[in-house]
Amino acid sequence: MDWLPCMGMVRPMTRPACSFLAVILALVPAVVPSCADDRSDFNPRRLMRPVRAIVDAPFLAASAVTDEVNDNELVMGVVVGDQARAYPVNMLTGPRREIINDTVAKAPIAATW
Amino acid sequence: MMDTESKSLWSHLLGLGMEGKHKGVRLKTLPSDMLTWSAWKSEFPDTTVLNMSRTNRNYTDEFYKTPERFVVGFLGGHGMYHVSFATLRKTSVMNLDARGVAVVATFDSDSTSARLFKRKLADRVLTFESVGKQQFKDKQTGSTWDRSGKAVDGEMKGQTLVPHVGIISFRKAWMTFHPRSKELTLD
Repeated sequence: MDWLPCMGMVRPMTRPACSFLAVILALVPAVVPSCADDRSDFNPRRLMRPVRAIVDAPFLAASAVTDEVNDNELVMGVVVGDQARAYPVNMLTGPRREIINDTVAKAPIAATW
Repeated sequence: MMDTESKSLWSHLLGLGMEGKHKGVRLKTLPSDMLTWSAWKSEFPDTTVLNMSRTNRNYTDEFYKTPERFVVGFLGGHGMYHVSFATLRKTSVMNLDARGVAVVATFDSDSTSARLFKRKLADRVLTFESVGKQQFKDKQTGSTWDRSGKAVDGEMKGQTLVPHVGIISFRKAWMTFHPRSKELTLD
């Protein structure tokens, strides 16, 4: 696809008490299944100014990691094709993070928190 | 979240366009893991990892001290389903039937990792039981499978189970987004 998501400036009115929603999305639209929950109550309001989309995040090979990530830290992991990618959750929190636009094995994906 | 190109608004948990040009469009959610760095790099030694400054230090293997607060949710037949981490901690393998969608949930308490796989392989639906901490066995063929979903011994050796998308979430958050989600238990 020729578009990428960026950090949102709008939150749902009924914002859930959750910073813990880890999802990895392939940036390819699909047909909405019939089971999709009713979102008729969607009523957003602006809480903050837009934040620059993260599109150029740096990555390290596992063999090069020293103290950048500790063994007991939680990561979100995904495998695309023959490539594995990890996103330490401790780097994803906060309104200026939360979405990493990425490309893994030529597939455009977004890791969201 | 919002895409820069069309300014459409999206729900990041649902992957669903909520407002704007892409309203009603759903992104494909990929199977993913949530586990310790140690466990991930052990399974995928060639992995790469995001290298940004930390914004938090709380997300470690200590995070699931209260497992009843967490669920793994997924799309089954006729809607969404979820299993509590408190239930998963009681068994390392759980065979689930979500109204026609047969799934197996595996849980490793050491790495705090929950994974879902489709139980249907070719035309056969398999039923799994645990064999030690890191392996499980299907009752139909007696084949042994590892945590990555690969058959390592028996008739099915070399075959791989297909991952089923599961989303690990706070129970409260999951129920906010999926109020009609059905909880699956061991009973």
